[in-house]
Amino acid sequence: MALLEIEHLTKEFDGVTALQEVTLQVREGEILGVIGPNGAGKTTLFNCISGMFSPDRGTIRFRGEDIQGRKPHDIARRGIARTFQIVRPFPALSLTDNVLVAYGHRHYPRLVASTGAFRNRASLEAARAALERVGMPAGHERQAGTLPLGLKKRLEIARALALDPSVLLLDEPSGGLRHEESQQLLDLIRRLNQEGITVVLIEHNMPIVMGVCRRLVVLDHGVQIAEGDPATIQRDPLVIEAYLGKGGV
Amino acid sequence: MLSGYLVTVLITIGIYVILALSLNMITGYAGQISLGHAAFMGIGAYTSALFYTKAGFSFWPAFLLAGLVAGAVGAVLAIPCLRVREDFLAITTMGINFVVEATFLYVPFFGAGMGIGGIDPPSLFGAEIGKPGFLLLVIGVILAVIASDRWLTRSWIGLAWAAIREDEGAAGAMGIDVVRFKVFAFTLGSAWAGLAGSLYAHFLTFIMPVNFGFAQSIVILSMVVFGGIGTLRGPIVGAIVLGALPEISRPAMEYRTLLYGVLLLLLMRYQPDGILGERSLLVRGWHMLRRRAATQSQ
Repeated sequence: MALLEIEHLTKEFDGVTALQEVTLQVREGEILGVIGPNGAGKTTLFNCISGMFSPDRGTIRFRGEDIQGRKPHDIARRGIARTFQIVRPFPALSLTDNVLVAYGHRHYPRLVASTGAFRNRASLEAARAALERVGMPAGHERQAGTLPLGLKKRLEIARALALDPSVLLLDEPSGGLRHEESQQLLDLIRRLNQEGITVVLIEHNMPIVMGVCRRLVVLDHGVQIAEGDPATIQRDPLVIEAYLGKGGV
Repeated sequence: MLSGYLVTVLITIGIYVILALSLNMITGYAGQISLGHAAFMGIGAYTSALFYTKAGFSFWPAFLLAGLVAGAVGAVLAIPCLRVREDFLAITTMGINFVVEATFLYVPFFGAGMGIGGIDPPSLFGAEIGKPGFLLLVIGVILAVIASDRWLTRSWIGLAWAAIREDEGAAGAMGIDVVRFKVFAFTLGSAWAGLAGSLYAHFLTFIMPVNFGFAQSIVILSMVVFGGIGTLRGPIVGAIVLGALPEISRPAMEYRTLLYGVLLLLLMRYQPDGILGERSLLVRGWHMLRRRAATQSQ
């Protein structure tokens, strides 16, 4: 049984079919890349998995349990964490508090537990550890809104890590990053995977995708057109056509 | 000793402090705009008045029931409010205010246009507590609100509210049940407003639907916004300044709604955080003075 099993996933918006009968598995411990031209439905796929959208048809099973249509907070608590393509930090809150928001997931379900002070020894240590893990060892009391983009992206990942996830859905984490920042991101993803986190990665940056993913799924116009290891995918004519159009190579 | 007139003013201001702090929980902390907060003040006032005059309850249980009923209604009315955002939420809460006021005005059980009278002030151990005693009661409730406020802002609930205020969608992705926390904010804010309503009823000894209409909601919101929305000190200072204003300038009372409207406009343009908000002139000046004092002493 795969960690995440997605079958016949379909999502339509006012006549536009964003996802059509998408079927794929995410195996435990792997780094799976989801690629495809813009508008292929990659973020919609993430939104369905993470609960922001309810699919029109199809099932999503996590560890054998149906999760399609559940609310985002429910899915986050089950151990599936996601980052956003366009970063969404809580701008007025400090970096520490941003991470603590996610760390509090263990308290929120119970009202009485939620009345405890959120800045305590255990939580502050966990927040500091999460920020260090993504390479931000200092400046934790800055307001998140003042961070440059590269650090905001790391904060997104630190927050996702505070959810203690078994699956990390990263939506174009290298978007807007310089080359060295992308390299550091690559190392971070590898490290997190080695620590046991399954990663699903949406990316346009081919060097990153080829460098870190052992398996790829290709979407185009909501349909899955290819699946396999990077070398095979690179040679697949359907994939090439999707990215470059018809007209011969 | 304090003159009777001064005590009256202080009690009025005190009740507004409670109202402003309670609205601040919903609008300032959880970020849910509410233009109908006076409705819950009214629900509390009428609950207390009815239990006292018609069911023969003494003040103290009537007072507690006022908070419970207002909180419960707040929880129920929060549900339609949950599905709408910002502008539409403003209109929905405004609508709730009008519906509640109309209920008091047209349903005979609530005394209709005549309101309810004969709501005696509270007594303790058989003796009326009198005005100074009532002031102490109001201060006691204020201290309770402040204590609960500080507790909440340090708690995971306060953090969840802050996240919801900043970005609801992202908050959900972080494991926060946004619906549940929004309902909790409405419930708590409405409950405190209900208690304030009960104090109001037993202080004035008679209440009418018009006391709890949209105009009153705007007065309360003005106090919160003027002082500094989302802070603890803001609503308190706002309630004191705007609550004392009618006493300082009687003519201003006539044009109160106009005055508050203009005040809000000016605030939005020049000091949107309120006069004691984080980025206001006064607070920034204060921080600057402290920094200068720190560097000078080196």
